Amino acid sequence: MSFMTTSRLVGWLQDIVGNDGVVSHPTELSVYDCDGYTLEKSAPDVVVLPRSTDEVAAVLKRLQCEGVPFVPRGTGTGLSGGCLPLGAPVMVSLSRMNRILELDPANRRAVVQSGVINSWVSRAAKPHGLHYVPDPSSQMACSIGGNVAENSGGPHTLKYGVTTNHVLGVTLVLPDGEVVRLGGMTEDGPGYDLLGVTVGSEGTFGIVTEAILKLQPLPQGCKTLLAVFDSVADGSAAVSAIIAGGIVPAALEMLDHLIIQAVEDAFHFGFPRAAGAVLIAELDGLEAGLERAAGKVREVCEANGATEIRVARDDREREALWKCRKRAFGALGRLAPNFCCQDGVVPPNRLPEIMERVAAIGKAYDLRIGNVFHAGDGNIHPILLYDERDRDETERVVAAGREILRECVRLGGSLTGEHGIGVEKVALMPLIFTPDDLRTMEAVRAVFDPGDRCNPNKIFPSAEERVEVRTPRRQAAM
Amino acid sequence: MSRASLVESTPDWDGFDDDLRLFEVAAGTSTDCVRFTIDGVPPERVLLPNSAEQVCRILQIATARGVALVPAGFGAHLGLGAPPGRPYAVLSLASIDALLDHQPANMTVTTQAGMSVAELQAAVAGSGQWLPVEPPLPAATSVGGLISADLSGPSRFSQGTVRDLLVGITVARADGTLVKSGGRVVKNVAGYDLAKLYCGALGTLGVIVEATFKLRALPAAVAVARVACSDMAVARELLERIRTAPVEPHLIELLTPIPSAGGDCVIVVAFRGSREEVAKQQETLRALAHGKTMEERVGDAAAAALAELRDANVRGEAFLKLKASLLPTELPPFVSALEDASGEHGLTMAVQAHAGNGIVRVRVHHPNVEDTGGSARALVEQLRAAAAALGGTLVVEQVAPDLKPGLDVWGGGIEALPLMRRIKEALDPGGVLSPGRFVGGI
Ligand SMILES: Cc1cc2nc3c(=O)[nH]c(=O)nc-3n(C[C@H](O)[C@H](O)[C@H](O)COP(=O)(O)OP(=O)(O)OC[C@H]3O[C@@H](n4cnc5c(N)ncnc54)[C@H](O)[C@@H]3O)c2cc1C
Repeated sequence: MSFMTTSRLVGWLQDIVGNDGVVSHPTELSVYDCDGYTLEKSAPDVVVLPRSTDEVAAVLKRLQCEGVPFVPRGTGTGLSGGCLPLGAPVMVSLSRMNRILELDPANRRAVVQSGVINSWVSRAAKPHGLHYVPDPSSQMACSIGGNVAENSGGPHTLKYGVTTNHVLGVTLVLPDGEVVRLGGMTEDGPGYDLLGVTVGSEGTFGIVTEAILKLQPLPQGCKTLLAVFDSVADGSAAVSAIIAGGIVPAALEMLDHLIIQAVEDAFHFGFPRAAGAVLIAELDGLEAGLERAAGKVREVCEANGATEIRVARDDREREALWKCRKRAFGALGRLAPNFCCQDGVVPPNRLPEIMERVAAIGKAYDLRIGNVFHAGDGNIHPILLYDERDRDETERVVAAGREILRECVRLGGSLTGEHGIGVEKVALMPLIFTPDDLRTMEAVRAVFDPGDRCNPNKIFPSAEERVEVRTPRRQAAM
Repeated sequence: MSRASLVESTPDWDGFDDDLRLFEVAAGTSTDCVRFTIDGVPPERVLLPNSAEQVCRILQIATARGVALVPAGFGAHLGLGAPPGRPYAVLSLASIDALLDHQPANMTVTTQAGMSVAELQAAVAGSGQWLPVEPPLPAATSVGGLISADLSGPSRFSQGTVRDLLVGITVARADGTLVKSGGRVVKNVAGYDLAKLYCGALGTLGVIVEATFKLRALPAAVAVARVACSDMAVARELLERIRTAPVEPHLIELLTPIPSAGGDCVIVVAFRGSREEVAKQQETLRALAHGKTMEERVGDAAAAALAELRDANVRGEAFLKLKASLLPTELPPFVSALEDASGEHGLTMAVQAHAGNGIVRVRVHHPNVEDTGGSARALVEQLRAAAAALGGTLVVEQVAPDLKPGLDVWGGGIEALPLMRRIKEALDPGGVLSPGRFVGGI
């Protein structure tokens, strides 16, 4: 946008949200130039921070009048470049819409604004013996709006289901500023399940300002095991055997050698440094069944070569373990200035194969790759380490990432289990969808966003024809 | 005049038949026409395609010849929804019924839409697995129907509904293109989750030809308990105690006749899981229900009781069947509203509620068959208003065919209706599929 248009726009937006609700100074804007996917960066011209659904509606009406595209942003922890502004000069940040509006323990529901941080919900529900199940590893930082947009998962979504299984309704401000409520406090409302298709739409349908969440009783008991393996292959074999055996742990997470070392350096939990892989298996539910289920998991791990199995003695130890798991990405900062986290999925019984392929690809591209992932549902997270100042390495990261995802697809899986397509995986969509599949999705998108102004140039390969894509895009500016 | 309405006014049935013959689509018999009759109006034709390609052909032909199509499985649940708005042909998926891919190790199954839910369950049971959704009449319910009608049973309390289990879908669009969304792995966010749109859409957006579900392990043990409560207040208190107790029930149902004579209100609780889990929970429930009459069943007897419970509402005789969706805590006040209505209209009712979900099914009996029309309308309006006052909704699930046209099946006031119309317009612009069956006349 030209300077003139931008300053006029700033004035209008300030009229709606107040002077302190608009950011337009270049140094302040640089905070918003990427999310957790750092291979590409681009700052918006203006960031607007509304405080209410009404303000969001007024902002979007104004943008509609001016024909200005925009991008919603939660807290920017996304890992696929979902809130990278691409042809969208205005960013709408939900960070000031951060109130829990209602907690209804008897009906096990919470109503929250979309900027509420995921972990706040469970914290508020805990005194009532309840919690909000989906627990992305970023739960201390990510917003419910971002979770809804990405249909986020987490370690404990293996047993209990991902975001879409725990959201009953949303308030959505359409790109033209109209406010609609989808779903509601009760189940089974008549009509199409527009809520279901909005969850996971990666912020392309409009701006979610409120959400009605289902709460679940805290499990009566919990048993957390740490199984140590010589190799990721052994650990993967154990995972597929556990799943095939019909045991559904609450969580089944794997950390490989590289990650174990980084995490141990950072948090000193006491992981066996030499181990090729560790598997965290958590069983929860009624006390009555736990011992037996834990025994079965132990047996399966031993049968698949576990060299040691530890059981968390108490809540403190369990929490420390989970802290390590959830902060594993952070610990990687010690190993390299940048990382790119992939999010492919394979059927669990193909885990040993894909992990082998990931290692081979790492070798072929001369990259260090760590793995810390939701093993139980076959959702791998190879983390490719790099230094963005090294142009050649950066390019190898992009190429290797794509090759890993191609392998996932070849093994019957998917490009993304929870992080979304965003900008990152747009070019790979034809690997799993036909042009007709994609056109159908775009037709549905057009119902919500006929002008293609809400988070444009994401998800669909057709976007690649519209914006010049160079990967890493950032180099264009360098 | 728009193209759609021009087409509507002149369906070319002869041309339709000729085209179908060309593609060797099997036609149903007159018995099939009876079986697939919707609200008293039989279909003009019944088509039994044997492949997804044939389904696509039929859709193209129907569009060209201006013929309306109602996708169906075996016809067991066609009473749901409003009657078709114009003469129609039924497109039954019954012959497209193969199990395509069961991956026991990954706990997924992919099947064609015409397979029955019972067959699917039998096929995966061999590996100790099940699709944890229990529609009424599973042997007469196709997988496509399960999805389209969003059928569920009491176990939705612990297992969720079909939308929670469906991980991928292949659909023939109204224009005859075959499209998919999702995939065959349990966790997947690539592209929009369009599968959700077809759940409960009653065949108005596309013809489902294939679906992939997640499976769960079949629990080793099952137990069912029926606890008699003297009245709703007592039942409510017991429900509250169960809610906060250390149990994870498989289902919690509330059954009561209306008017209640006292002592005839029943809470059914089932447990499934390992033997230890089930035994321990039975014990806990006994303590909670102390002083009340409690009947318990385990094993095969429990399974039989659960099947009966699952089918009770569909099998039960009634001139009108309703479904209300409420907050679980609003169940008792809604039951009071039913009591009031029963007194005013001189009717009796049977209530079966998925108590933990706030879903209430009401079967209404009428002593005087002559006068049902007026009563039905008035009653639906009155109870819909009662549900709305409690923040809920109410739909008509079944009614005598002659009364149906006079009733508002879905109710008004659906906030997102304009968006829903645009979804329909985007996926079925010609209005070929199940016209008039859905909300707002969609
Ligand atoms: C260390 C780390 C660990 C992570 N672990 C997990 C994990 O275990 N599981 C997992 O699923 N993800 C994980 N993530 C990814 C990320 O945290 C999730 O995708 C999260 O849901 C993003 O939330 P956010 O508020 O940061 O959204 P943002 O990054 O701000 O936005 C993400 C997308 O959502 C859209 N959006 C945001 N808010 C709204 C709104 N209110 N209305 C409409 N659209 C909106 C944006 O436009 C964008 O497309 C992790 C990320 C990090 C950095």
